[in-house]
Amino acid sequence: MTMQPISNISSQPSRWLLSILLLVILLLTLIPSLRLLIEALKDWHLLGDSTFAQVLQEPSTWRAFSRSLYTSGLGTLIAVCLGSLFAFSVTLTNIRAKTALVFCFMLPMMIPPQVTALSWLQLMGPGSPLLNTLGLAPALGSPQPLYSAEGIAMLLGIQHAPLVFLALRTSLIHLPGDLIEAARLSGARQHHIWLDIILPLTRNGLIAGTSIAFVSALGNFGIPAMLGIPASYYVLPTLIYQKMSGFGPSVLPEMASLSVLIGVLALIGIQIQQYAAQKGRFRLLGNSSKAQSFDLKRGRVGLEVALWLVISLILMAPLLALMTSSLVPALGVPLTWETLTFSAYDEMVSRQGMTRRAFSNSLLLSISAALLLMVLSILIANSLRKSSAKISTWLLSSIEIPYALPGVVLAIACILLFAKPLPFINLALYGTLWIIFIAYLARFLSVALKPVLASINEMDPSLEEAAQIAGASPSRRLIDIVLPLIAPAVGAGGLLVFLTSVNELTVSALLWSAGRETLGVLIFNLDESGDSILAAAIAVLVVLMVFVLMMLLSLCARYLPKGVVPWQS
Amino acid sequence: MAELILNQVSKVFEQNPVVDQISLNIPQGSFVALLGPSGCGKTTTLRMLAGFETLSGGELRLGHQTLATAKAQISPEDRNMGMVFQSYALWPHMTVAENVGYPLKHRRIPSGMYQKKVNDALETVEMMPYAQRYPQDLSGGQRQRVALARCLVTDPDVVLLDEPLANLDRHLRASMEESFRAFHQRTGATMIYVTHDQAEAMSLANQIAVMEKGRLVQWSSPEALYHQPKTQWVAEFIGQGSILMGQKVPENQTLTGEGVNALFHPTNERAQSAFLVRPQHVQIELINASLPQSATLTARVISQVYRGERYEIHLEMPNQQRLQAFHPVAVPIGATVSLNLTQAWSLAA
Repeated sequence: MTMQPISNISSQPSRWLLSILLLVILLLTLIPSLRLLIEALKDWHLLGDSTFAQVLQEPSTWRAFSRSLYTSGLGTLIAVCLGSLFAFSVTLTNIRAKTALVFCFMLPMMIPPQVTALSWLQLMGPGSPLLNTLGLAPALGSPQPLYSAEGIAMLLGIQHAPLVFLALRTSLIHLPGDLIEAARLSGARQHHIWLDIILPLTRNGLIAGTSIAFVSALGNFGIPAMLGIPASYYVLPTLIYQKMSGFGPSVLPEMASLSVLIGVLALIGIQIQQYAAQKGRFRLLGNSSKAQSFDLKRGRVGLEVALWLVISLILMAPLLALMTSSLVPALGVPLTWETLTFSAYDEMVSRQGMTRRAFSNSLLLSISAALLLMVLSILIANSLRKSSAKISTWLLSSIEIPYALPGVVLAIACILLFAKPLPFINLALYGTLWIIFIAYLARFLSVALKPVLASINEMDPSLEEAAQIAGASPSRRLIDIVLPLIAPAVGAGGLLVFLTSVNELTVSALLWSAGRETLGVLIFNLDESGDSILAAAIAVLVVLMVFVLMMLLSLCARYLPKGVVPWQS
Repeated sequence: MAELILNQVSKVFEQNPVVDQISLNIPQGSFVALLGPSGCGKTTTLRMLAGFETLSGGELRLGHQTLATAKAQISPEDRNMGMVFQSYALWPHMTVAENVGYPLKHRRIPSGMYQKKVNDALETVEMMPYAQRYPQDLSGGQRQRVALARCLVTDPDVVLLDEPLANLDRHLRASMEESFRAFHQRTGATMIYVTHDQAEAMSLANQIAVMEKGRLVQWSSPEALYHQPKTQWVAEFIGQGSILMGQKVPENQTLTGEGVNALFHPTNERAQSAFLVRPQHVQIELINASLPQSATLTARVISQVYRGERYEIHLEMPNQQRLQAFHPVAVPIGATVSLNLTQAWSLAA
């Protein structure tokens, strides 16, 4: 038995490990944003002639800015309508098959935006194989209706409706049934219950959901790229992409300024969301009685039909179109037994070297990112639990930054950081997979960490204290006690990282180079070069993969803290 | 094994003294209860003994070995203590046998001894048939027994118990109390038991430390605590009883016999001492209004509670002082009774 100075004990597991972790987090999260800010403002002394001021004076900036606001605003409106319809129906009524409904409703969020866009493009327009098969296709030569601001907004709305749904459902689930029963006993009619009880109590959830949907729509790249670029309709992220791919690194300062502009917009939205979410939090402590469910009686079937109709419109139809497209020999040909062909799949597997490369690049990137982030999040969560509240709040908010900022912003920041070879070691990361890898680590750290933190905070601290008094050292406690208990959450976090990064487009669209393309980039490029059939075939595989992984997560939901698997209640 | 010594032990959380200069000498093998209302610092004291909380001041010793000072301490894993947590803290991913055996894995023991020690510990708490079960398949009392076996497996010098019965129902508490008593007799380990339940503390411990707002108010045997409380607060906290004001007498005296009634005579105006009067020391008798009044002390019946073996009678004396008595049969509410006080304890001012 030896006495140890208090200063050594209070910071277990050990000070140096915590310092290294802090450094890694700092490098991944704050440095890129800071680098971006410096680039945008480095010639501020030129005032009106500085890059930032010039970017602000350009009409294209403000055109893209107002288009961003318009498409995201309209998209958010659609998302709020769809999301609240589903949230209220699923949590407050006695409709059947809720799990299946929620699963289907959440799918659009997990399907990469470029695939969503592609499948909608296959659904509508004169070349649609599905409409041709059904004989409903508009006349050849008529414009594709989705190549418009409203088309972009609609898809943004569908893609981000699950976010509104989640935020709203969180506050609805914790709306205790007895509050509504008390209102009824006080003599409140149905519409009064809605106006006086339900809406006020879920207002914060609605605000939080709305702002996060807006921020996500603002940062979305896949949808406005697939639908807007062909119509020369540029929003901020696609404007940055367009200029970067047109002019290359020479316009970096200009792009940094644009990124700061969109970043500020996103940060405002995040602030609103966090404020609303925090204000809503105290209610979680309250009553844990059963949530209210209104008996709809005969209206139940009507609502069920309506909800499934919405699902078939926003999910089934486009996916069906995507599948049909992947099975015809050329666009515009209707699908019959004679025209059915697997040549696109054949081509994907056998002939296209690029396809295989993209698959292996994406798998390599996402699997290794998921594994590394799993390890990192175990270490971070374990030391966060023991460090002071101030440090952990600070760390957690800095980890959120790269995930919350639009992907384009992070991509530009990474280019700025790694365009030149790294100092001292003279290592060039630009043009390699490494730059994408680092960007993924920064962007998805929060995705991996959140379930682990939730799980470790849920753990009774006396479990570890019991091991300590049993004589176990800090590392043994981590391995013997903490790790087995948080393992499901770690796995879920890793799976979520894999799911989001394997289809990622926004970051890699700017960071890829020849031979280093990812799956997301591949689909995007194939569609841009007119090879929609092959793009559709790959997209079908991607959707299938998403579906399987989501099912896998659903299966282990039982062992996870509440809220880790988004579509499970 | 040796004496456990707390010397002016203090803990300050953000400038609030939670534990304020507590000094105790706990002889080896004693069963000590740290008793007090919630927030009195008893759990913090226990956690300092375990090493989970650092000391802000003072010193903690086990015999000649210093366990902790404000500057340095031995970490919990090196103290050879056992602890039973309020939540049991059984590891849900290990079987009962693995839970119990875990502390052995961190000590050098001969290879053949592991299984024997685990079995012995499980035998002691009669949990052998459940060795291969997981904690979630056990009832609350069974979990508590496993937790007990886990801390006995290494023969610890000191066993710390943090409100171990708080989560159990009343029936189970009695049988678990019996287990703790048997455990203590068998092992002879020093046991420190935190509780807010005075009945639990009285029935288990041979020494009780009563704490209030971070300070030690009394350190004595259960009997002394009950009959000779040091302050009015302790008197009101421990057991049932009434505080009456009466004629001035020296502090901390047990008064018995005929003279007790006279202390509280209504004509006595110089009532300056506080007395503790236990309800079993208050005899009452219904006064028949037609007979001449002879009793010096009378009171009116305010209310009564049926307690099974007797009635608990709440009384008010003519000078508005209230007191409690036990009586074998019910008395009418509002009736006047004569009082005979057989014993009182004069409290320190």
